[in-house]
Amino acid sequence: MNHPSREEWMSYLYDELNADQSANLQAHLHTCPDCKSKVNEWQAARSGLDEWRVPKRRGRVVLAQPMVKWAAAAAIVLSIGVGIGRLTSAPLDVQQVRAAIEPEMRQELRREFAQLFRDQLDKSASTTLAASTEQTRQLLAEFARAVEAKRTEDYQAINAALDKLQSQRLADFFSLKKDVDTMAVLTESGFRRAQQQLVQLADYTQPANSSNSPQH
Amino acid sequence: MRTAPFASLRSLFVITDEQAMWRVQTQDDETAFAQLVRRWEGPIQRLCLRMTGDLHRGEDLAQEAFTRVFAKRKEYQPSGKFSTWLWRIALNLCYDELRRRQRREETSLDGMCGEAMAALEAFVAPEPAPDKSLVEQERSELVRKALMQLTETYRTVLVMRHYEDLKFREIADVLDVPEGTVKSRMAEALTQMNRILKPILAVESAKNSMKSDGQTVESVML
Ligand SMILES: [Zn+2]
Repeated sequence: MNHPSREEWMSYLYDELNADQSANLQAHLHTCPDCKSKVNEWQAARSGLDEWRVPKRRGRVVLAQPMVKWAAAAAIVLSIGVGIGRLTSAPLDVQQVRAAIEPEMRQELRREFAQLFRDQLDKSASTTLAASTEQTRQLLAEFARAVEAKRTEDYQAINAALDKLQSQRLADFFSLKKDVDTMAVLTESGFRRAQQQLVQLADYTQPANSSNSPQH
Repeated sequence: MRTAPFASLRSLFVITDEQAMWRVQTQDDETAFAQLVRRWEGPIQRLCLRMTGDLHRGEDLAQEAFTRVFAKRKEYQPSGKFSTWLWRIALNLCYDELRRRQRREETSLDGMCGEAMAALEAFVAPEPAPDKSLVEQERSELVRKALMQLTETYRTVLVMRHYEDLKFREIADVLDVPEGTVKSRMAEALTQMNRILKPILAVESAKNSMKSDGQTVESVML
């Protein structure tokens, strides 16, 4: 018997064949236990994969705001870099840069984790009032350790990034900083404007039903 | 619901990704860039999340991907599809991240660090919808872990074809390999997934059917 290749079976499973090809493979499946069992295994894997659900995107502001925040943070780092570079006109002093931004990052991290922590508390308060206090206590201890570890990791990442920065030239900073600045402005104003235009458009085209949100 | 005249009017304003990117490239067009971000942030966030297995890193990486798109706007070749370029940028960021993570694990002297991260991940990553049952959460987490056991090569094709629904042809373009290669990687990836998932999901099902015998699953979990 002439078995279809596994490449062909992939096209079959993911519906990338035309109707004739698909019917041929299907017919083969009915007559060939070998292929049948292989295809069953792949199907099982596919249903397994479907069980990993991820949260829906949490609203469209989600990316816009951190993006601006990120850009602002990068701008701070870069302008410090530029400032020091100007003073010494030598390669950047990484220690200095690090000392300058560490308190910032520390605070930022603390804020983020405080928020995370609050969210988690809210969530668990509503669902697990009956949970044992011992379990909660353990979880909190674990969480505290995790926060500490994450912080260390972030510092390592920052340090690595700064080490890299050191080897770059002042000119790079200026062009990069400009990009970052532009983007921070662009992203925010772009989103606002696009939103405004949609609202206007909706008002214009749906005068009888203007209470409907255009963002459905 | 959207009315027909609104929809058709709206289509007049829709530009293709490539047109938008051309505007970003030649005129630094802010509205065009915002449009690209809005169109693609969801898929790119999901790609990064599935590749790294980490919701928050996924979001960070997606931001970084768009930052790169803007920073590298002059390098974009208008003859190519915008999305192919974007997927490639995002994937490379994911690979960098995974490599960094691996280095950290290798150099980490303190085993606690990894454990604590895992605890944090478990704490943060699932972030389920409130109505999702605990059983579903558990199974979802098992599948996430299983997928993270695959090598990048296999995980990449699974994520792009199965979760993001790219055609094999598109994936081949992003990865710059023949289409047949993508398909054979896909077959191998599914085979490996089945091997990993079969025993654990079966055990989970058995456990859960026992749990639901008599009392509710939730009360057992607490
Ligand atoms: Zn056969």
